[in-house]
Amino acid sequence: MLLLCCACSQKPAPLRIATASNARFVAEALAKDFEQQTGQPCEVIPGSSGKLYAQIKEGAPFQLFVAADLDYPQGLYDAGLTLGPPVEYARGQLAVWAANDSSLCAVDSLASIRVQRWAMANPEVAPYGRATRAALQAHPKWDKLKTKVVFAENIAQVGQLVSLQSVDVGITALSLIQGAPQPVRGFWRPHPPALYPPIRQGVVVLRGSTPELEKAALDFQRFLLAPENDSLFQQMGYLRQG
Amino acid sequence: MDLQPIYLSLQLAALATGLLLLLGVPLAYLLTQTRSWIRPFFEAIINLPLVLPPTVLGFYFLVAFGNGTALGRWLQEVVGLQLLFSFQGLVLASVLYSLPFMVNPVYAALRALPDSLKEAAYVLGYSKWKTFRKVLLPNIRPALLTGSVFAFAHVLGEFGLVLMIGGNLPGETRLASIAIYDQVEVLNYAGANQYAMVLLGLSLGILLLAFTVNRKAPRVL
Amino acid sequence: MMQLHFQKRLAAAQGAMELEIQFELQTGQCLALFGPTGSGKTSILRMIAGLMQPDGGHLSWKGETWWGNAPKTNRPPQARDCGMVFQNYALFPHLTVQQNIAAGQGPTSDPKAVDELLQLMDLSQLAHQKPGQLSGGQQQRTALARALAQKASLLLLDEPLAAQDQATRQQLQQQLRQWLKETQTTTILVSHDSQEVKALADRVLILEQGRVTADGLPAEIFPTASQSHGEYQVMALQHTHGGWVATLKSATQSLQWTTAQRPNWQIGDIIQLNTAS
Repeated sequence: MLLLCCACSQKPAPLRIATASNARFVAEALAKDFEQQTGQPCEVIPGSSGKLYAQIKEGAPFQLFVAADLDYPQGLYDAGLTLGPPVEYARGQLAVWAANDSSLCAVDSLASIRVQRWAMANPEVAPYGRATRAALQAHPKWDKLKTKVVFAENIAQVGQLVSLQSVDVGITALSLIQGAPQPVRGFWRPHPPALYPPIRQGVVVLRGSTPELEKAALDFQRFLLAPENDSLFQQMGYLRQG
Repeated sequence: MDLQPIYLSLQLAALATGLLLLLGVPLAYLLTQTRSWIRPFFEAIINLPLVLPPTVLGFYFLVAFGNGTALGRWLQEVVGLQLLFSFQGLVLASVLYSLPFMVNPVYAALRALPDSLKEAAYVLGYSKWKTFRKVLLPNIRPALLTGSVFAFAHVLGEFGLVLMIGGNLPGETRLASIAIYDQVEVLNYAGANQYAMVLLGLSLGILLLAFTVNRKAPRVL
Repeated sequence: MMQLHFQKRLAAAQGAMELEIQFELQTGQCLALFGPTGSGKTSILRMIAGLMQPDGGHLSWKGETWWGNAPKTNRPPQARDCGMVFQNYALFPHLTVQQNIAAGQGPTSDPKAVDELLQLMDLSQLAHQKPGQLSGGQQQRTALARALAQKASLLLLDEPLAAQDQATRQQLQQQLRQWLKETQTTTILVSHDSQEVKALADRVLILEQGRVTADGLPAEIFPTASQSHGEYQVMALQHTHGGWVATLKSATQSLQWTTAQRPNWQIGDIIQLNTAS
């Protein structure tokens, strides 16, 4: 076994993990651990789920797709591009994030006159945007809130708008704030998960690479789902079903 | 800071500029030779990348060269050319994307040369090819430099197209501009700043060099 | 021998013009085309060189057809054994004077011949200058040297000495005449200057509005003042860059009269030419 590894090229081909923006930090942390444990080098390719989905459909050389919802992986499974059906690996959480004022980080405060502009991800393309809309449509002041909203392209852009103080409040993924490698400015609080439909995030192993990489991808998927990593996910702002 | 994206961007820009010189200069010459009524069509097509948003161009590349089309499958299976999510694909896309930046100045310079220059060469017995090499090209050197520099700088700054068809693969398609975008996405403004400063410095240096050299170039006639 | 017959519709400043010209030219002769601006002289040179296509006619040189309709023949300029001095010189701006002249020689370069031409044209001091650094007259002499370096059997000269000062021009006329006779080069010269025609040409055609109006020896066409003594009517008066050209007509002959200053006659005036004028 050792001999075989030495015989092949010095560095094996990297396992390429296409990852939705909200999951990139947790994926990068897991990839590092996985690489240490197995010696298999990994590359995390971040991007929006929709763009990654389109690139995979056109044959992008990725072995895993760690998505922000279940629909995009399901689409790839239906198209016969995966080695199995999508598996839910975690549930995302929404966070209300205020740049300056700690009293503003709750959905109710969006109606306050101290909030001139607030941002959310575009519900048409971003899974977290969809969840945000579902969470807020039930709000009694939704019609008023709508007039002050700015739609960002994705949750990462919501983060940019808040951190650059272009808006007073933003609703984004908790994982983007808690997982960031550098400290993030402002104040935030998770929005109670009972108030919006669960953001179920799925992972699929993709077909079409070498048998070695497909095996590594299946190993990584198992690693991603392993109970030993539950605490890492929770620490980074996700919910894991036991 | 990981310097690989910068190195990769420079490599891509150099290769694309080299190919553009080989391709764009003869194209500009052919354009001067085409009949005047058909010329606007070619000019419009070559200049299309100037007006099309890069993401639109990228989207069409993605569709045209993907698995979903006969062309994409033929390229991959018969020719063995992987144009999406590969460095060679970025080279091709950059050449098409920056074509007007090379063709336009060269074409303008060729048209500005008096006809008598070409005619004198013909009367001296120079073939068309020799006239092009020995008489026309040496007299449009400033335009060749301008075209090369603009093309180089344009490729260096290219983003939307690369984002669509590159796939952000480290060492393969993760260019400096993509690395900046990545850093901004994770709110690491210091990291984005470092890449941006390097790119800014490089671009400024190249442009400055080109304009300094062109200032010294003698005017033709 | 050259046999030439050209028909060509030309767009000119004062409207379209029909050029129709026909002549034969003996090998080794120098023929001058003389006439006002816009009479079609330069177009004829361009059609001979192959830079412009006639609408009809025929052109052959030394028994070989260069242009013809039956059968369709059109030799490219590269395959016509002729040299040309362009009115705007058309020097290669990126080459030095020496390199420009050498460019005329074709694949076999002969540095000694280039040196001789540099001397002949009084350009030795300027051999390593580029055209942009030269005066108009120096550029013109370079263009002439480049055309001579070609050693073509046919030489086309479009106002080859117009930019020279009076003294240089007369000296160059002499040298050029000698060179042409020594090398037996057949020459077609376009000129505004009757004095130059008399110095260089064996024969002259007067061109007006695309037609030949006179054909003869320079001494007959441009008689010296004493020969042309008499009463004339002024038919035309035209400004050229050589000066002023008047077309004068008497009961027996018509002639072109060139002067540097604007004469104080009007078209239609009857004037008296005598030795003093």
